[in-house]
Amino acid sequence: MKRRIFFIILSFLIPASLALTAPSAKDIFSGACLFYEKGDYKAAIKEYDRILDMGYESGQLYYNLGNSYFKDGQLGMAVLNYKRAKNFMPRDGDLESNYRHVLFRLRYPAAPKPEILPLRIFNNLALYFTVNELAIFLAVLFFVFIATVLSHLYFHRIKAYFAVAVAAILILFALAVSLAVEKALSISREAVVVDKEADSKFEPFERATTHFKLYEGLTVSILDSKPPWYKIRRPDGKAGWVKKSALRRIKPQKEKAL
Amino acid sequence: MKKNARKYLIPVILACIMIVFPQDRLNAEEIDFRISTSRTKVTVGKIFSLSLIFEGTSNVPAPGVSPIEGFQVEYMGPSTRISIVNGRKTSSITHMYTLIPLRAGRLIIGPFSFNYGGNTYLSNTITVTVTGSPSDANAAAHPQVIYDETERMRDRIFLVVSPEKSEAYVNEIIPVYLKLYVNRVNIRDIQYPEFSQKGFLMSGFEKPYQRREVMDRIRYEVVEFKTFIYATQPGNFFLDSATVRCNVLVEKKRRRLGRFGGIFDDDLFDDVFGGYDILPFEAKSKKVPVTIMPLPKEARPGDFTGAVGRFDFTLEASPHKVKVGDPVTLTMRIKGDGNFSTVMCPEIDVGDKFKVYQPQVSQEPGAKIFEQILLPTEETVKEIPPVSFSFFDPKLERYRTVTSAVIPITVEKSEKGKEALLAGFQRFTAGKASEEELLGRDIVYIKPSPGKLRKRGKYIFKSAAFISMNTLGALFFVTLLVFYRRKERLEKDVRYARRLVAPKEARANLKKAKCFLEKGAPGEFYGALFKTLQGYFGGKFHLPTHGITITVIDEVLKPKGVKTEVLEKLKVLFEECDLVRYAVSTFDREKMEASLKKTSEIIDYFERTRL
Repeated sequence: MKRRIFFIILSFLIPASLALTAPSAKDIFSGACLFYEKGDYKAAIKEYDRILDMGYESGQLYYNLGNSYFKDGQLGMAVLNYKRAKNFMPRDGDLESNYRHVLFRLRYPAAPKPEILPLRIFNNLALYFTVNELAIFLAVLFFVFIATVLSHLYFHRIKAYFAVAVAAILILFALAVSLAVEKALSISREAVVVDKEADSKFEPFERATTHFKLYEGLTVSILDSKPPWYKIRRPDGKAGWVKKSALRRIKPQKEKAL
Repeated sequence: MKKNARKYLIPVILACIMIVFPQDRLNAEEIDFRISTSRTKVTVGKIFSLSLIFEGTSNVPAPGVSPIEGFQVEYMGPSTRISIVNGRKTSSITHMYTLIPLRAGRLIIGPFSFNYGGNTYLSNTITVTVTGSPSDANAAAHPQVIYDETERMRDRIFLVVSPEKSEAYVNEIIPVYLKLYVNRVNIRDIQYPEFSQKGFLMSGFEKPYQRREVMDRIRYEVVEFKTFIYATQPGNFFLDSATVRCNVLVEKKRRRLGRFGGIFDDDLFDDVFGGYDILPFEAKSKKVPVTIMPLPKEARPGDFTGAVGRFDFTLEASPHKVKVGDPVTLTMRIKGDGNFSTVMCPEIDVGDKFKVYQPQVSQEPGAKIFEQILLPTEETVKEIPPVSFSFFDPKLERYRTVTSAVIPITVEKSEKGKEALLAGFQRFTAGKASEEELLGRDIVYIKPSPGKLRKRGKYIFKSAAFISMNTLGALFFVTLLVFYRRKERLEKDVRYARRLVAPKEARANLKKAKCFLEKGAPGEFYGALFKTLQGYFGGKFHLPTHGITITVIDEVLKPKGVKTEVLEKLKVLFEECDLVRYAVSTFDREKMEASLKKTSEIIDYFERTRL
């Protein structure tokens, strides 16, 4: 009996002591920053990746990872991580500057802006907010809507402004929903070319004719999947099949079987 | 109305389900995979078709079937079919291939296996008898014959690469046209050209366009592809030959019908391509010499960074009035026609009076824009000095420099104090940082803190708190809405209000009656019972309360289908209430208890029963 109690206590103590000795994500982050400062970018990348493997992520983490890849000469991976960081801190000036710089180094022009003003505004708004901010905004709008309707029912004084208020809320609601959907879709379908060069083919076969070439750091949209191929669309509208190994998705996800 | 709504609701929901989940997804496992050939007896070299048919889906990609023993295989393309009959959707896709037998014998095609959606499908097999000696030489399409046929067409289908100029400077854009000339031949499945050039950088092909052109008095259909190239090194080069692949439709040479030659022996009825064979064709261009000249060293401006073309340069500053340390955005726009890849940001010589940040670059069709942030460090700054941009104009064959005008600006003293601002600037301009700044372009340093680390893929809208809060909000809203509607109805609908209140009042009155029962006062007791019945039935059926007497049984309750037994009980109760006025002494406690019980039962009955 005593022996059993001893093992039970031990079974609680061992994980607790491991938890006390295991470095936290913040400690690993600080260690990675030190590697970066010393110029050991590969070690820095390894450490930052450890935090991701622990199941954590943040804009700053992806930003630093992007910087490390950039310094290590892996510009495609740098673009990928800057893009991931943008989903967390879309208004960060340093991030925008670094992202533009890596595109400049890769000789890619900035993404073309839509010519129609409302579309341009919509795109800018979608880039300006994170998914979480849009979710909170939608929740606030929902409660404002409830408050407006109930005030209209119980306090008749605001009756005159009711229709305008409800219309404004519904318009804002529709806009926020479309922004959130657009944001979520673009995150889930975008990928970055991480190989120096990749062939895009007419068909998902090794022997198929090459349609065009993709170069490191280019962001493409994924249209379809047929392991081990992705059907992609380049920003100029051309579509083709590219090997999955040449790309990394902005939002990592489990591959769906066709 | 409600019944009608229900009647249409189910078909609408079913239709929605059918739209959202197409039939081929719902029945993903019901895919039938089979193969068929346009003929089972052929001669060596005779083209025939193979179809891979997938019934039950329309989005299966082309499976790889090559190599097939004894055949040369060429993929032709897919053909899909979707039909909806009596609301049932069926779809199929057929991938078609051409086969050319290479040897005689009984050759077996298939079975082919194909993985789709995690399932493996196996096709049937087909045996094709290939005879060694073609009975009709005209009908043969032996590989040698195909070769001869395609060689014969080389003067009717050919590819010409024509650069817009054969002499150009380093970095000068050369438009190149790849023209596929076709004369009286049917072609299809034209692919984009393969055209990679060593020593040149090349843009992608634009969308081809089709036109007619007469060359040596022969009219050609021309498919024109356009691209742009530029060389980074001087020298004499050859543009390597480009290749365009396509399929050519060649009319079959008919068999000569003998005296008894059956019309049914002809290909007319058994070939899917009607009267045509489809031959793969590869058009190759000749090499084209191009001379790349170096940029002249004479009169090369000091600020020249390699831009070649004809450009215009404009400089704008905004705002024109700032305080020390506030940013002024310089927008440098370089417009024109030329190689924008070689256009770099013009250098700005502003001395120590400004702190200069890295420029942000963006590109539009026909323009490259550099946005540079300047921070004035002292209030003595009066202007932004001129900025010049130099480039080589290949048409004029000389360098040109465009210099902007001086832009006057007003810089005011900062309220925060000059010293504090300068201390901030010195951090950037001192030591190693200033070297980096002089180098001009690099990334901003890493972040010292990881920020708010969160679980990967965890979003607010997926959290239990967020979902609960919104659900509670919705419930609260619905509750208050229902409450409001009820209150409003109670105020406006008197019938509803009376009916709602009637049982409550009845229960209260019954309590009073019970008190009188306890006191042993039959007169007051039956008075209370009578009042209960009057109040209840008046409220329940929206009738004047004082008008409720025994007559209500026949006039109101009987037509509503109330049970006879209940009506009898009620009649007795009313009679007892009347009788008590004349013979109080006949009502003892037991009788009163029975009357009270009967009243409760009657009210319960009317509450339970829907009339």
